[in-house]
Amino acid sequence: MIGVLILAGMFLFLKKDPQEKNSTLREFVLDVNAGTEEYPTWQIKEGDPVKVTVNSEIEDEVHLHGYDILKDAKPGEPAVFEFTADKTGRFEMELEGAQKLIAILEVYP
Amino acid sequence: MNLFYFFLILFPGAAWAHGIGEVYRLPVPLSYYLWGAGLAVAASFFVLGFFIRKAPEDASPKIFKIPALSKIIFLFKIAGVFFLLLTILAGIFGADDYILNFAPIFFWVFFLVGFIFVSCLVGNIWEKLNPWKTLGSWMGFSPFRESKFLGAFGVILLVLLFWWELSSGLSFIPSVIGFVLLGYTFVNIFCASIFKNWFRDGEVFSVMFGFIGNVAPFKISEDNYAIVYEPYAKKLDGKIFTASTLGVASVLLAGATFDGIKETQFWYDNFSLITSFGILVVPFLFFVPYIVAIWLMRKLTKSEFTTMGLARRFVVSLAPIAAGYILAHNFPLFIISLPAIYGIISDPFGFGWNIFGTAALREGSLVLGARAVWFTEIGLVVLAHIAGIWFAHLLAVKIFKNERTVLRSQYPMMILMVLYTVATLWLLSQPLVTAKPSTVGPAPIQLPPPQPAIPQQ
Repeated sequence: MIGVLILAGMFLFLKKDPQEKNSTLREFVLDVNAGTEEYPTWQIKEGDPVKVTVNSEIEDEVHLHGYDILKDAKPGEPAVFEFTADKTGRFEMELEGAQKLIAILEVYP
Repeated sequence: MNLFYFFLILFPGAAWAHGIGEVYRLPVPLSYYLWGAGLAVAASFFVLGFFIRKAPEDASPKIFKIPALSKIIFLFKIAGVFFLLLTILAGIFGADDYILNFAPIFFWVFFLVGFIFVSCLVGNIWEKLNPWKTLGSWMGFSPFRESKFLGAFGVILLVLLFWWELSSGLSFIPSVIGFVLLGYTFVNIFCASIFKNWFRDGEVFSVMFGFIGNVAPFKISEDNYAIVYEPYAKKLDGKIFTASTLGVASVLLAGATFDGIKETQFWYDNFSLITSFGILVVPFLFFVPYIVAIWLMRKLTKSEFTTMGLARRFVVSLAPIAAGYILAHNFPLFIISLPAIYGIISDPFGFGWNIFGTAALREGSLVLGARAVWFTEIGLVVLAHIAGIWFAHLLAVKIFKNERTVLRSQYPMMILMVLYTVATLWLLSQPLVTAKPSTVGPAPIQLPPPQPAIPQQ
C-alpha cells in the first residue's frame, strides 16, 4: 500500500514535462566505408526534427530500428530521410544487408 | 539488457530484420537514480520505525473457492505438455530463424519471464503445471529415494541456464533450444523415476519458480479447488530453507543483473575478458554481503542460532528482491515481444503457415518510451527493496521475540538491502557500451560527396 503511494508520488514527480517545441533541424551526415568498424552515437531530444544522410560505399539498405525507416543507399546516391524524433530510447541504425551497425541514435525525453 | 543482444555480438550474421528483442533502453538519468535511492533509504527507515515494534497479528488465510479451478488446472497441465512438445519440435524441425521460429521467443520470453510474473501473484504454480511432472505421472513412476545432493545439482543447473541465456551465444538458436529441452526431458524422466525430491530440489524451473513463488500473496490450494490468500506473517513463519536455497537466491540475483552489468561501458572497459564466465563470479557479489550481514546480525543479537541457521531463515527476504530485479530487467522485453505472439502461434515452425490468420501481425512494433522504461525499472527495484525489508522484519519479529533485539537485527539487513538497491540503480544509470568512439550531439556536417557523373535524363 505504502509502496504504491510512493510510486504514485514518484510518477507524478517524474512524469513527462510539457513538451517544449524544438524546430531546429538536427542534421547528421554519415560516411560508411566497408572497412571501418566505428560508429557514432547521436544524442537528441524528443520532438527534434531529424535529417539523416548516409553515404555508403556499398549498395545496401539503411535501417533505423524502432522507427523502422528503410532507405536504399548506393555509391553516389546517399540514403536521405527526415523524421520527427517522437519515440524515446536508444535506436540502432544499420546496413540491413551487411548486418553492419553504423550509428546509434539516442532520443532523450 | 535484452537477451538477443549478446547473441548478436557473437553472431553478427544472424537475421535481424524486425528487431524483436530490442528494448531500446537508455541509461536511467541521474535524477531518477537519486530519487530511487533516496526512496529506498527513506522507505527502509519508515518500515523500521513504524512496523518494527508491533508483531503482525496472526490473521487467518482467506479461501476463495472456485469449483472450476481444478478443471482449468488440468487443461493447463495438458497445455504444458503440448507446448513442451511444440517447442522441441519447432526448435529441431522449424526454420533456423529466431524471429520466425516458435521456440526462442516462447521459451525465453513468454515461458520464463511469464512464469516469473505469474509466480509472483499465485505462487509456485509451476509445481502443478510442470510438463515433466505430468509426463512422469502418466508414466506411473514410483521414485524410491531422496537425495540431499539434488539441491546442489539444482543450483548448478540454474547457473547453466543463465550461462546458456546470457553468455553462451547459443540461447536463441532454435535447434539448440529444441535439443536442450529434449535432452532435459530425458534428464527429468531419469531423475523423476529415482528421486522423490527431484521436482522440489533438483529440477531447475521448480527451483527457480519455487523460490520466486514465496513472494506471492496468493496460492492455489493443494486440492486445486480454491485460491488462498495467506498473510505474509503466517506464510513466512518458521520456514527454514535448505542451504542450496542460498545458492538459488544468489544465482537469481546475479542472473537478473549480469545481463545489464556486461553491457555497461564500465564492465566492458574493465572485465570484458571474463564475460563468458561472469555468471560464476557475480553470484558471490550478492552472496558474500548477505552472509556478512547475517553474521553481523548474529553478533548484534547474540542469537543462539548459527550464522548458517539465520542465513537459511532469512534467505526468503531475498525472494522479492530477485523477483523485482528479474521483472525490472525483463519487463520492457516482455512488452515489446507481445506482437510476436501473433506470428508464432499462426506459424510456429516458420514454414509460412497461417493457422489463425495472424502471422502477418508479428511485424507490429511496440516501442515503450524511455520514461516508461525508467519508471518501471526504478519502481520495481524500489518496490522489491521495500518488500525485502518488510519480509526481513516479519521474520525477525518471529525469530527474535524481544523488541530491542528485533530492532538491532534489522540494521545489517537494512544496510545490505540499501547496498543492493543502490548498486542496482547505479547499474541502470551506467552508460551502455558503445565500445567505439562516440560523438555527442550532431556529427560535424560534412559536404556531400562529389556526385559521380551520371548523365542527367
